[in-house]
Amino acid sequence: MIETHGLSKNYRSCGALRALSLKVPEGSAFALVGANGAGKTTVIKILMNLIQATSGTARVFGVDSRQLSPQQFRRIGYVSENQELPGRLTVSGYLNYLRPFYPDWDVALEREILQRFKLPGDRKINELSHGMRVKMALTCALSYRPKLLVLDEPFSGLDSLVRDEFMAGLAEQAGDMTVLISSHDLSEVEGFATDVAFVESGRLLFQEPLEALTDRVQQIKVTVERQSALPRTTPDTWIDLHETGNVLTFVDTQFSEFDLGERIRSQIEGVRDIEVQPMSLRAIFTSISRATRHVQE
Amino acid sequence: MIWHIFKKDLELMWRPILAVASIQLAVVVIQLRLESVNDSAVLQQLSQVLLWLWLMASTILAITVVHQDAVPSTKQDWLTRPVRRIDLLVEKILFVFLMVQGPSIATDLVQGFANGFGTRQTIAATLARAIIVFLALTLPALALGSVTESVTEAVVLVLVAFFGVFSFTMIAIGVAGGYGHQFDPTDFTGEGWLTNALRFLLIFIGGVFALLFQYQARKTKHTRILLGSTLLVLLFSQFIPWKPVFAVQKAFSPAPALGNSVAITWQMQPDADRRTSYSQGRTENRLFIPLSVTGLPTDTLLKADKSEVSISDQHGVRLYIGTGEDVEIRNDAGKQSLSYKQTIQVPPHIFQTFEHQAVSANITYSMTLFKLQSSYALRATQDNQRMPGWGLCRSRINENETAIEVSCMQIGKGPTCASVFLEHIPSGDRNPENTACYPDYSPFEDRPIPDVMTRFRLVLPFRDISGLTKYPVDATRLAESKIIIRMYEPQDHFTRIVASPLWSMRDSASGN
Repeated sequence: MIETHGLSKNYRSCGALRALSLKVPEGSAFALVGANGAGKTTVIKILMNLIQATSGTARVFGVDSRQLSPQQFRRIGYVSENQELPGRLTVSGYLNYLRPFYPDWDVALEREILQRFKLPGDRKINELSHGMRVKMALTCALSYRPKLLVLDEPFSGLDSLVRDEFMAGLAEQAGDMTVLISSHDLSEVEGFATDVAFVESGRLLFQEPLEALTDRVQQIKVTVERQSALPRTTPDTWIDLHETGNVLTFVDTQFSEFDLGERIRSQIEGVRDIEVQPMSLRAIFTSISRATRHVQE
Repeated sequence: MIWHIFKKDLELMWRPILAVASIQLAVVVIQLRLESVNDSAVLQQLSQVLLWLWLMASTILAITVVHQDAVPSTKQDWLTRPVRRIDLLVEKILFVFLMVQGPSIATDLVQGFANGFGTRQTIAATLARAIIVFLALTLPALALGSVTESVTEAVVLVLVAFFGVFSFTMIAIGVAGGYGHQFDPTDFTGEGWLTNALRFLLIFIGGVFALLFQYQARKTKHTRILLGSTLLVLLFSQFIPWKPVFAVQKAFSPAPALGNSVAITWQMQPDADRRTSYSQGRTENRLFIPLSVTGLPTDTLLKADKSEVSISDQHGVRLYIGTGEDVEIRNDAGKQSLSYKQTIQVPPHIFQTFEHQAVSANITYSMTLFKLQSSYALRATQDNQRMPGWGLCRSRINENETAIEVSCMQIGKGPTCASVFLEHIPSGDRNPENTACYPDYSPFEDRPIPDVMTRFRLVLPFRDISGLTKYPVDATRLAESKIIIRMYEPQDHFTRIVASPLWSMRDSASGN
């Protein structure tokens, strides 16, 4: 559905993206996560042909993103936190304007979404609150049942109630569409995403199905008999190490239950207890980001 | 989808469109009022203010229309919609042409028809003006709108451009050595329209290319460079050489052989005619060049569009290069030979250094031969007449009762050259002729403001308040007099070279 290869974008001397290669499988809810300024929006803007990459390629529906035509845009829905809608048109006025551009526009669906989001049709867009405007943008993106929905930080500035409404509306309509969602707030995509990609400083750290990720990355708490027994060096796959008294906590990025005890004991002497804790996406992201920054420093 | 986008823009922009149209209407109403209330300074000023307001408002409106779907932005919703960019561009051009220029086109048509001008003439003049306004105003505004996201940004860009033009002009003046230098050789000549046509062509090419490039590639920086380059080429267009321009004008001659018989030669002045007085301290010294013109057909008027003068010493070393003053010779009586003294101004240092030396002059004349096309007679007072090729005129006595005022209007381009006089019909007595020649060989009116009409006024005095001048046709004879208008039209353009024998500048100088 979406594929990028060696995508780089430089703003003067600053590299916003560095050889980023990404693959969004069809039918997935793909979360592109990373801190602010990591390069998520840049990737999406290149994919939507809003900006052009310095090097590398990006393909959407198998088409070079620089060549995206109305034919492709009829199948793409795009919602961004700072999308500029024609503010002096009313909600209904703008929907009326958009309708003829999409042969698959579903008026019944449009009404249903409007009702769900309680969007006042006669209100001018620039009189809507930020949250209402994002809902409006989502309505404009969902009403023609796009094959690909691209959401760029859609939750920024939204209160939790609106976020929930947004996500509920999205989940309801998602069906078999592919969703690419970028966010720095991982708790919002955790229950929704099927795949996840981490972007840090313009680089893709990894991408994989969320389930595989949460299986692979686990927090390990090791209690040793004496404090002096803690190791000076640890495997590279152990990140975010913390030491409190005789308890060592770390994140194992290649966790496997198989021979776990042996592997830990080979590194740490006098292991008294090993506790494995599954991690939330947010915790995984935080640990990996911290570790990456630590390595870069 | 063009019409669909058009309707959206109309819904968003109808209020400012109405406001700009109102200003345009006010300008036309004032122009109409000015035709009946002559010399109303307040109305004149108001008209000027409104005209500038209309120009500014139209430009801003055109820019704002483009900004409804801003191109440089990465946030605009339309960018990720199935909108064909070429459709959007066509819509913007169409919208601005119809909605911003439309009211102006409509008022031009109404004025033409209301004043009784023919359908074909009215439509042709209106269309010509619409194209000129489009090239001079609308297209640059559209291009500017396509590389900006807000009016403020556009204004900043315009200010930068103005600063660039100002700096360029100042540098050019500095290099040329003073404000008095004329850069564009076609300024104040009938050929000026060719330079303007070239500029319009450059604007068209630059503007269309910039719009197509920007809408297709959305490379704002590159498009801005392209527009800046177009502006630079436009600035350099003022250094266009005269000869190719005149050659093009020659190719447009309606009667290319008419001037073949015309010859101009240097005519040595008899001693009695020599004018030797001159004064020190003047910035220029005037030389009177004695010319003899033969072969000028009857009822023609010969005018020099430019006379390029070169003065050399007896060894052929060039001392001075410049241009001579106007030459205008009329042959109503069918004379075989006519004499004329052309004025040439030379800088004092040249004159003072070489005044006693033998010098020779070489003058290249780029000339236009006008032929009498029509003669019209208008009652001296209270007449209202339509004259083909000349326009609609009204005669009346002025407030001081010293002259007849003839107020005329023509749709599109006005007449170029005429001699006008008061004639007492029973006796054939005439007042001195008033020759008005403002050569403009353009096939269309290339001045886009204030409207499609060309208005002009002729003043024919019949009484001198001081009593110093007595007119053959005075107030007592006006009832039996007519205004005779003899209209000349350019027919042939050609070059003649006059080479003088050795002569002394002092012998033909005046410094009064």
